Amino acid sequence: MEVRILQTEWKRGSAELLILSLVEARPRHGYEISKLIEQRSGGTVRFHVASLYPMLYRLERRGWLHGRWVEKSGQRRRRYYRVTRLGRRVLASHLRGWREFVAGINRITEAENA
Amino acid sequence: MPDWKPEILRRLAPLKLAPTREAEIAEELAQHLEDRYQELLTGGHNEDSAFRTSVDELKDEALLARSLRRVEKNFYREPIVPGRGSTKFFPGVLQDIRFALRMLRKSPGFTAVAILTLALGIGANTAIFSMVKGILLSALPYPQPRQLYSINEVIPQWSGFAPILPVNSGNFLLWKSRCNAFTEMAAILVYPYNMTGVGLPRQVYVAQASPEFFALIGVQPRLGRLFPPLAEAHGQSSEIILTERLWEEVFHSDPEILGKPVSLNGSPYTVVGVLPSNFRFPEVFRHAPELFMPLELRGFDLVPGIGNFKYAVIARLKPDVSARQALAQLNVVEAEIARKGDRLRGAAPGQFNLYAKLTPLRTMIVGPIQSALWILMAAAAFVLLIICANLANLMLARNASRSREIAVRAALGASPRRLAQQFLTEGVFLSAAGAVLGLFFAAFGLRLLVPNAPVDIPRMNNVRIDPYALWFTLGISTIAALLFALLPALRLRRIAPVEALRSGPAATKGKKTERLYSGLVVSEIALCCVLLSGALLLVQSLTRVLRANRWMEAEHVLAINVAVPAYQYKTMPELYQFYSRVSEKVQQLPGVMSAGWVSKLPLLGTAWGDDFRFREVTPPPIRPEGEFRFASRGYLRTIGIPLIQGRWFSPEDQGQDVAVISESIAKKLLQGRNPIGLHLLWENKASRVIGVVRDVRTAADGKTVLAVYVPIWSWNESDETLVVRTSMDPRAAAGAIRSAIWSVNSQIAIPHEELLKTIVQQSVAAREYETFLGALLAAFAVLLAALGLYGVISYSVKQSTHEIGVRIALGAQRRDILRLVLWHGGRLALAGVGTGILAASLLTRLLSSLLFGVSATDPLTFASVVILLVLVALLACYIPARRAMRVDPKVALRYE
Repeated sequence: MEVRILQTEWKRGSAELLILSLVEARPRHGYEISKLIEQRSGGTVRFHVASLYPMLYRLERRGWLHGRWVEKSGQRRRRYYRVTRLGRRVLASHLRGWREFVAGINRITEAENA
Repeated sequence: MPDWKPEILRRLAPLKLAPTREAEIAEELAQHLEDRYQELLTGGHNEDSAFRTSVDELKDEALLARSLRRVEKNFYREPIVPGRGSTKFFPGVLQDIRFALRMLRKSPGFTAVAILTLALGIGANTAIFSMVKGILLSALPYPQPRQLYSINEVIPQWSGFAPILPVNSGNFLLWKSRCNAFTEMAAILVYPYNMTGVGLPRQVYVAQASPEFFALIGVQPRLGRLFPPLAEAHGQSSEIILTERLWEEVFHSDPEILGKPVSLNGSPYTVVGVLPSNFRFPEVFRHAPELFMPLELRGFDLVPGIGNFKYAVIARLKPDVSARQALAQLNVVEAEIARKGDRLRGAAPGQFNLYAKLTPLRTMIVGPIQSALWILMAAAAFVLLIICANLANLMLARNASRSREIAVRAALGASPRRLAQQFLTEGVFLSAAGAVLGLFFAAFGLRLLVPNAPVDIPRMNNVRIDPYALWFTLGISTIAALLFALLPALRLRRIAPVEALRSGPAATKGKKTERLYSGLVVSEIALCCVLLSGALLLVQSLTRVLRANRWMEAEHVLAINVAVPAYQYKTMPELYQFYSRVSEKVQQLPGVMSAGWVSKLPLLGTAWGDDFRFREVTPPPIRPEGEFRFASRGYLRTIGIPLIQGRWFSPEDQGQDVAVISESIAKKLLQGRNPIGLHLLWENKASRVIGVVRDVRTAADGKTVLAVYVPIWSWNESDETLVVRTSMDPRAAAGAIRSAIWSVNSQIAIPHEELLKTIVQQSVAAREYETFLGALLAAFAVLLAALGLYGVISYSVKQSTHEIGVRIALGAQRRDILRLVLWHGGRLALAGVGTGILAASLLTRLLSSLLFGVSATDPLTFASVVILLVLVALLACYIPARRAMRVDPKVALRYE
């Protein structure tokens, strides 16, 4: 039970970071983003439609992401998100903070468990 | 494939999103669910479980709405579909502008005509407004200009010939010592002087001014100093101050000018100061002074009284005193002067009433042009109204042909208000484009109008397109847009979509629409009628003015003003000898036919005035004031004033007191007696009348004066004008005439010669200018009204093609059709002309101050306006009427 609560908290705090880092390299659509998160986390982190899209829209509002409808031949149109210049800066600073945080946690837990 | 959207939309419903946004989210989420579903199917799920797992992604019913609520609230902007209702204002406007541009591009002809006529109308209004602003409204270039007043005197008993008088210097001195309502008060007199010692003798206009004058208008010298504050009565100064122009032109901006001597009328003066370039002399005199000397009053000039009115007085009111209080103070002094009378000048105590008149300085300066400018402004506004009526009609007609489009949009849910907003946007856009182009027209127009303005129009250098003019343009273009776009927009409320869709373009044409078109055209013609009547009255006045002065338009007559240095010719015989010798010499010059002298040429203002009566005739209760002109034997023949009765001065009259009177004296004062042989009593003289000549005027459009001509030998007049008639171009003789004068006296300054023709031209220039502008506006109005009538009639013909077809099919003759259409247009024209003439007969009264020899309700003028407009109207209807005649019933009936 405690583990689940911890996971939810982590998800919230890190969700923005995850999404930004996923669209950093190239634009992706919503389903692709959710698949990648699930795959790369080995199934431990999953976003549902009801939470993923509101988050995407929020990031778009803030100007970190930019969504655009793209039509490819033979497919229905999809909305692709790419990171904006501002989003890139936010991502860089988030990553730095995150790494410092993880490093700090590691130092504490390693010292305790040693 | 399952339909995901109902599931999603049900969950989004509580958010009440804008429809397009809702659809967009639904599409994106549905796409996601579909992807998931397909993946699950590929992964081996059956359809049922794949569907349930996918829908499960949406979680419970409320979650999606809850997490979206904060993100979507107050953020999303609704894109607008043309004509559909929107809750938001601004996006609608932007969208409307896009739409308006598209619609206007679709009909370039309409757009071009609309923008061009609007630009001309707005341009004319802006240009004339700039003139009104620069000349009438903007402040004078002096500190606290509202406190500056001009003071004049009024004697009600003299109002017949001199409604407003300049000021008597003695009265001025009394005001100065008794009235404390003013901070400063200055008397000024401008007079030509001979300036010698610097190059050729030169005539300069000198202002003798009270020392307070400069403090009064707040000017500091550029070089040197101003006059010390010595009272006018005690001054004994020989100091002068130069204007910057004279300093540049004559002294080549010599920085060492201070203290240098200058000879004026033979007396030495010293330059003590130079005025700055921004100094502007109040334009209250015909000639702007070029140098200043302190006003010195002696003897006769110190005595208050009734007569000797010759000074201009400018005063600055104390900030806390009202003009009314100041006037009351002045009038206390005036009443006292009137009560005492003026023994010196023969006014018995209490015989005359004397009042002061206080006029704001600005009014004094712009007075003569004021009414003309406001009338032009009104005319320009009329033209803009006509343009608006025209455009309203054009837009109505266009809306009628767009009725299907409008009906479709109304059927799709566009509210009448939304549609009206769209049509207003079209109007605003047209008028904005018209305003921008109009500003260019105005700027261009002013570049033509300002440099070509006659000199009599004051403050013309102040006319430019300034921020006020820009605001004005913005204002009138907005009003114009409302005027011409609102009516058609309001009409949209009446559109019944079903009707319009069923029966095509003709559906919106009902009795009411027809009446609206007709009403607009009628008002257009009426406005045009008023303008045209006004313009024709002005044109008639101008031709009458020109006709009244035609005798002066003689070719080959030139005039040279010569101010004889009075200090050199102290006695009357000396002076007379000078005049005779000059005219003899000039007459001997080759090409000169005759030469003569006069103290005042016609059209150049009032001459020396004095009261007179005839010994043999009982004088009227109020003694008339005559204008005395001192003339030589050659004058009449040279200038060409026709002799009506008797004869002009001849050699045998020499040394005798004789006089020649003008026609109006003989008519008005002699009760039908033969004037020859009567004795005219004036200034202790009794002059025998020997002739009567045609009247002259003080200005081309001025009143005729009671002119008395007295021979030059019986008066000591040193300011005379030499008039010369030549057989060739008189300017070629000017050099020789100059040398002739100098051969008699080399000290005399001779200003540029003026042609008599030029004097007439200048005298009518301001009137010509105003008439030209008025006629231009009226011609434009006629053209617009004709266009408007043409538009309505041809539209109506187009709309009634079917009806005409039926008529022809039933046996109507082409002639009948022609009569039908012409009668339709003619009816409108007659209604418009009728209303217009009625309005004109009321409004042209406002013009009466500008009219000459024609009454404001001149029946001939009104009749010609009626005929002209009806002809133009018939012409405008004739083209569509011919089109109607050519209607082929087979085609017309098939067309429906």
